Amino acid sequence: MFKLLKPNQIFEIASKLTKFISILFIVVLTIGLTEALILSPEDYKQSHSVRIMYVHVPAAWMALGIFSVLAFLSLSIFIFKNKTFFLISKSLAPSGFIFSIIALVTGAIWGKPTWGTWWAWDARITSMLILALFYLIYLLSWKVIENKERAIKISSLIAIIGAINIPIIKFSVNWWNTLHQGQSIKILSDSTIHSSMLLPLFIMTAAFALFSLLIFLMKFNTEMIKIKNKGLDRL
Amino acid sequence: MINELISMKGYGLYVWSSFFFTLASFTSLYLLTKLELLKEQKKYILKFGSLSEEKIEIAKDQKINKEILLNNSITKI
Amino acid sequence: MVKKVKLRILFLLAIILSAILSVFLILKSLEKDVVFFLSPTDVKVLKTIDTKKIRVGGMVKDKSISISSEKINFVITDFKNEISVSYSGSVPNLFAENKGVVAEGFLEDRNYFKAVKILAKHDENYMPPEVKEALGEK
Repeated sequence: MFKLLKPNQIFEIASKLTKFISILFIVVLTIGLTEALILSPEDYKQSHSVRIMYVHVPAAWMALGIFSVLAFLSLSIFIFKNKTFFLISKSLAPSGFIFSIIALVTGAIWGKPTWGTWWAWDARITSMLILALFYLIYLLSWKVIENKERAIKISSLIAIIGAINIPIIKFSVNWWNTLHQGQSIKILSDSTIHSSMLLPLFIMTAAFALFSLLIFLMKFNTEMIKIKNKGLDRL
Repeated sequence: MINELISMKGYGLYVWSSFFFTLASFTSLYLLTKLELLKEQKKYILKFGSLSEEKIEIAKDQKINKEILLNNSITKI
Repeated sequence: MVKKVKLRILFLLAIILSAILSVFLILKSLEKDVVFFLSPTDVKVLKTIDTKKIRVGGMVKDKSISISSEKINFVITDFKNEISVSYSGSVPNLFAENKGVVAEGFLEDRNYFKAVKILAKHDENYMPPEVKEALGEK
């Protein structure tokens, strides 16, 4: 198990997997888009604008999920100085950032015909914007800070502090009056989304997860080649 | 049928622009990542080529270096 | 080595705890602004009615919408208290009786609200029209 976590091993697996994952991503995305745009029914109230949910919700889930992983990895980077973990979190962050932007933009596009406004400073939307900003600061910290050791330390601190925002996003709709609706998919009780609409939602979520895996693999290999390039100097 | 799919009872503009934005973001991030990967592979190969023969032998002993050279998309072309 | 790890854990714990505490305190002190709208009950217990723009939200009461020339009157209810709203302008497509609404505007008194903007609040239910009809028949 631990052998798998060695950077060199991941590089080997990643190089072989990239092609397979990209084909799988295209296939799942095509099925997902057909389901989301053509086969799934319209909503009794929102009519066809419900289809925006099939990109908005998976993007929001992925953005939250990836940041949680980032925070978890950052904890062990900070405490145990795990060298592989910072490569992993650095490679995960770009797709998480894109997902948070997609969630915000598609949310705004959905809000206009549904609520009657593009933007509202309600707790859910504002905390989601803060998540996007945390992603941005995290990504920038790698670029801005020259000293590598310091960049690792500071970026993992940013991820750890930013993780406090995660439960705020999740529970904002329960804790305060918000314009954003409450959650539809609950662990302990029935979902309030009809099953014919859950199918495209889950397929799109799978497609989004595959996309972030694809970006992760490519980014990880880029970082590895950078390191090995420096290694050639030391021969 | 096609018209209905495009107009979506008046919500077409909103639905299609959401999906277009999503796919456009995916494509840009993919291209950016791919370009960066190609750039690093190219730099690596250039440096590898500039090494002395003796050093190349040492480098070839490390499995990871072989992997990089094998799996890059430049030498394959 | 082990001591160093322990120190780092302690350091992190201190940072996380103080960050959580400060976020909590900030949110607590900003509670009035974090809340996107007041319910009719919140309005009833307001200490003072000032002229600042506020938002009131809840359900549009059944059979309460009346439309006269360019003016829409309706009642927002949270099933405990109610408030009358008058508004002129266009409303979102989803504005309807028995549906959620958020009105932005000014309080005249505790029972009367002059809105300048109406937002429809969507609920967490998603289903095809046929399913809704079948549910309605039950």
